This record gives sequence, structure tokens and C-alpha cells, in this order.
Amino acid sequence: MALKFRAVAAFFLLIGLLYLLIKTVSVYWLIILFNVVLIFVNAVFLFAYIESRGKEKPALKKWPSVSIVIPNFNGEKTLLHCIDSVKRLEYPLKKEIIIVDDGSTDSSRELLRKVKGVKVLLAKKNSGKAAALNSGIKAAKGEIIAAIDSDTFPEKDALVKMARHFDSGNVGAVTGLVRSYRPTTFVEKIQEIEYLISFGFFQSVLADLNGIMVTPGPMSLFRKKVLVEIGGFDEKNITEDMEIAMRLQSKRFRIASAPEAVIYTVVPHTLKHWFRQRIRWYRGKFVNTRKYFGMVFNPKFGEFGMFSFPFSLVADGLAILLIAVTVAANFENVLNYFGFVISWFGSGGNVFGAIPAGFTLHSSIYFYFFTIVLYSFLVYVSHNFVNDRLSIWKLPEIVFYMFIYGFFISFVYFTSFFKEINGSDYTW
Amino acid sequence: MVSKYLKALALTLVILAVGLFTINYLDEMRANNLANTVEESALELQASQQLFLYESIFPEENICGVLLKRIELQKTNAAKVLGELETARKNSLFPDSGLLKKKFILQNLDLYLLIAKAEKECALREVKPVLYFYPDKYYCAECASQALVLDSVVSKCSNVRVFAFPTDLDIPLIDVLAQKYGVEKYPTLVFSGVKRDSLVSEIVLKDALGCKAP
Repeated sequence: MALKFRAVAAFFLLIGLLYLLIKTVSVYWLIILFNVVLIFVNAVFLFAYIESRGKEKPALKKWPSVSIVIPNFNGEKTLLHCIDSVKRLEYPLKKEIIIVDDGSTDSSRELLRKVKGVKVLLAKKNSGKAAALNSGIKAAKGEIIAAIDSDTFPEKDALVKMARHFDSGNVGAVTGLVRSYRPTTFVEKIQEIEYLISFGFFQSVLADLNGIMVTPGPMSLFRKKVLVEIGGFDEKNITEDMEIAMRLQSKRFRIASAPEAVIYTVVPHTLKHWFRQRIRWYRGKFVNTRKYFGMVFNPKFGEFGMFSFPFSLVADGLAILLIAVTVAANFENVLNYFGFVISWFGSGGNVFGAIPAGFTLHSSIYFYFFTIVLYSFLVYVSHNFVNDRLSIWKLPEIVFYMFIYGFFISFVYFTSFFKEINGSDYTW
Repeated sequence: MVSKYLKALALTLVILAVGLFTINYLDEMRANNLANTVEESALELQASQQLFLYESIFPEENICGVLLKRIELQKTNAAKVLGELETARKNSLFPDSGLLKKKFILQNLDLYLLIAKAEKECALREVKPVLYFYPDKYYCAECASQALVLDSVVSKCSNVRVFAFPTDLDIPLIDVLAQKYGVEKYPTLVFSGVKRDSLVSEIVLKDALGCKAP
């Protein structure tokens, strides 16, 4: 899609705003201010976590019936494995398994013909995951709907661990701990750390703050009555898992978290796919933020409206600005250095000549020390959630996550923002 | 019970206070180190100037031998210290190096004059001065690159001495020199009697100055 004037205008407006900020307020005070806000947000999470540690586990008087809905589109590589995992799920009552094939063009349909003990719904044409889920929900008889992606393999006790959180009529959905399935590439390993922190620590603490903004697509549980009441999944939304969570929050339903329930899912294994997936996620966030912006700082929505939602936006914005400002502040030094290196190449000097002798950092950089300490703690706690030991072999991805991941996400945000303004097509 | 938000605010304020205290301490440490360097340089210069004073009182005495030794001994790298002062100013949250910088530039001018005098009176040919004119109050990308090149040349050539002259600090002698060499663009370098008003590479400088390894 061609670049539109509004996207170009937005780009220059943002750059102009940043330039103005840097010139009017000292760039380093900005870095400190941004860090302080991020430290505050993370400190709230930390104290919420400490408060929640001694909390009693939910207890159900009666187990609800469960229907598992698996939307599938061209998932021939993982579908059977997924069905097998789902069949193995432990649950006190009989489970209903519904597979909705969303117009697959691969061998999925042939594979499904051989599968016993599941209900199969075949869509004539591909209408998207949300539409497939809605038709599955319509056909389901259970009180609880477990929406599971066809490239996801929950641990056998995941369903029980999640379902017991429906201990009050106000709980509309329950999320679990999504993990990367057998991570082998570096990109997959980084996502393993990312998922542990996001779906483990943050999701669990957010649940205590009643601030969950996403019911992860790989596997989430919903109360069917509630889904029907709020009109099911939004079929036009590109991140239907976020939209449904926001809608549940807007209708004052609670979303609980069960980080003890482990769900493995196939994650993008190349940088290109990872980048593309994140672009879709963040564009979805822009769309849903616009849709539910009325909840921001609205006391009617409790902690979600007053803290979780607004501060997630502030944290997103600051993460982008912090990185942009840090890069801008050091841009001069980088330019100087390149000028020097170009000159050095012409001089035939030795290799060490290319290393700047007096390389010094700005004092404010020391403020990152606290952020790094905080993030190290998050990595440690997130591993504790799943009783995973932190080994030295995980150091490369942990270091990447702590020091470089932010730049990647910032770049994704920028790209998503401009693609959204430009009205570019969505790609999966 | 204190809410988690208040606890978080208290923790954040503590971190902020500790952070600012640490930064202030580091900035002060950096400034003190530079002040010591500038002070040492001032003492060296004063010692050399005393020689000329001695000569003016006792004209029959020849000070050239001692003076040349002193200039040789004065290894303080003017451009490097200036670079460090500039870095300290740019990289400190609580910058306090403005006066120090001006003091150092004035010393640098004294040193330049001392060498010029030694050149005249003692036929000093060993030291090759490079005059480097740049603006202090606004950013000039090429100047910053040129400064790095000069640092590199000075570290590799024991006979080269760089005199960095910021032209917009209202220092009369720098104005006189800038006028003398017709400085209009930045960076401007004057070496071996030649004026160059664009980025000069390391290889060109080393060739023109007859670089002698330390």
C-alpha cells in the first residue's frame, strides 16, 4: 500500500515533538523522568505480587462442564498433536471437543476424518479465527468454553488448574501460562523468556489488580453465558483475544489468571515472522485502545480504568520515547565515531586505533542500573513461577531480553503506529 | 494497611533520591579529576614561563637547553584534556566544567605563545603545532569527527601538539588568530603553514607533520 500523507505528517509531527522535548527539557532529565515512571509502575506490580503471595487458592463447589473449541486453518502440521494433547487433558467431567475447520486448503480436513471422539464443524470458506470460534461456541453445550489454537499443546492438568478459578459468577475468563513449545532458535528462546515474564509474572499480578488486557489466543477459558451475553468474539478485530478481554473488562467481568496451568504453543521461529506477528498485536492494541479509550482514568472501571489500562498506555509510550530519546542523545557520538573510523580506514593504522580512547557514558545512564535490577528480579520471579531453574545457558536470551528487546519492541511500536495511520493491509 | 500504590511511590522516591545522589557524586568525581589535570598543566606552564622571566632578568644566560627539555617534558595533551572537558560537560547531569574549560583554553593559549617564543628564540623545530578552530556553542558534526582524528594523531606522533581554539568564547587572542588565518568555516586546521577548512584525514595530517612515533 502506498504511503499516505497522514502517515508522513504523523511521522514528522512525532519527530518534531521529540526534538522539541529534547531541546526544551534536557534530554537526560527526560531519560530520568521516563525511568522513574517505569520504576513506579513496576514497583506497583512488585508490591501487588508480594501481597498476593499468601492468597488462598480458589475452591469450586461444583465443576462446570467444559467444551473445548479448536479453530483450525491450515494447521496440518500441529493439528493432530493438539487434538491428542486436548484429549489427554484431565478433568472430573466428560469434555466436549469441537474442531472448527475454517476453510483449510491443506490436508487438515483429511486428517480430521480419521479423528474419533470429536465434533468437527467445516466452514465453506475462511472467515477468520473469531468467526470460527463463534460457530464453535454456538455448537458447544458446556458451561465453560476452552478456546485452544490448533498449534497449542496444554499440559494435562492445565484445564483443571484453570477451571477452578471460575469460583465466582463474576469471573468471565481465565488465562494460563503460555510458553514457547520446544524453543530451539534464538528467536524462540527470547520469546520463552518474554512469555514467562508477560504471561507468568505480569498476567498473574495484573489479575490481582483486575487489569488483564489479553486472554491469550493459544488457550483461554470463558464462561459461555458471559460470551453469549456480550455477543461473542469480534469477527472484524485483528486481535480478537485482546478485544474480548477489553470487552469483558468494560462489562465489569473479572479475568482470573492461573500461571500454574502451563500451555505450550508454537511461536514464530524467525525474526521476520516474529516481527510480523508483533506488528499485528500492536496494531490490534492501537485499534482496541481507540475502541475502549473511554475507560481510561474512569473510576467506574476500578483499578482497570484508574491504573492498569492507563499505565499500560503510559508504559508503552514511555518505552518508545525512552529508547528514541536515548538513541537521539547518543546519535551525535555515533556520528562522530563513524567520521573518525572513516578517517582511520584511510590511515592504515592498527585495529586498536578504531576504538575510541575516552569512551564515557552520560551520568543519567546510571539510572538504568535500577531498571536492570528490577528486570533481573522479574526474570528470576518468572522462572520461579514455573519452577524453572535459571541456567547459565539461558544467559544470551536473558541479556538480549534485558538490553536489546526494548529496541526491537520500540521499533515494532513505531512501525505499527505508522502502518495503522497509513491504513496498511494486515498481514499474518 | 498502606496501599501498594503508596509503597510503590515511596520506593520510587527512594530510588530517585539514591540515583540523583549517585549521579551527583559521579559528576563531582569526574570534575575533580579534570580540575587536577588542569591544575597540573598550569603548574607545568608556570614553570616554563619562569624560565623566560629569568632570561629577561639575566639576559646573558641561555635558557634554550632547559626550555626545550621542559617543552619536551610537557606531555599534557591539550586537545585530549579539552576533549575530556567537553565530554564532562556533555555527559554530566550537573555540569560544572564551564569555568574549568575557559581556564584551560587560556592556558592552552599561553602554551601556544610559549612554543612560538621558543621557536623564535631557541630555533625550536621539534614540535609541530596544529591550530584547530571550531565553534563551542553549536554542534558541528565534522568538528567532532576532526577532534577524534586529532586525538588519534597526537597519540601516535610525539612531535605533534594540537591547540584547540573555540572561536565563539569571546577570547581576544583567539579572535586575533582567527582573523589572522581567515577562519570562516569549521573545522579549520592550520598546520605546516597551510590552512584547511574541511575534515582532514589522519593520513594527510601524519604525512604533512612528519609524524614521529613516541
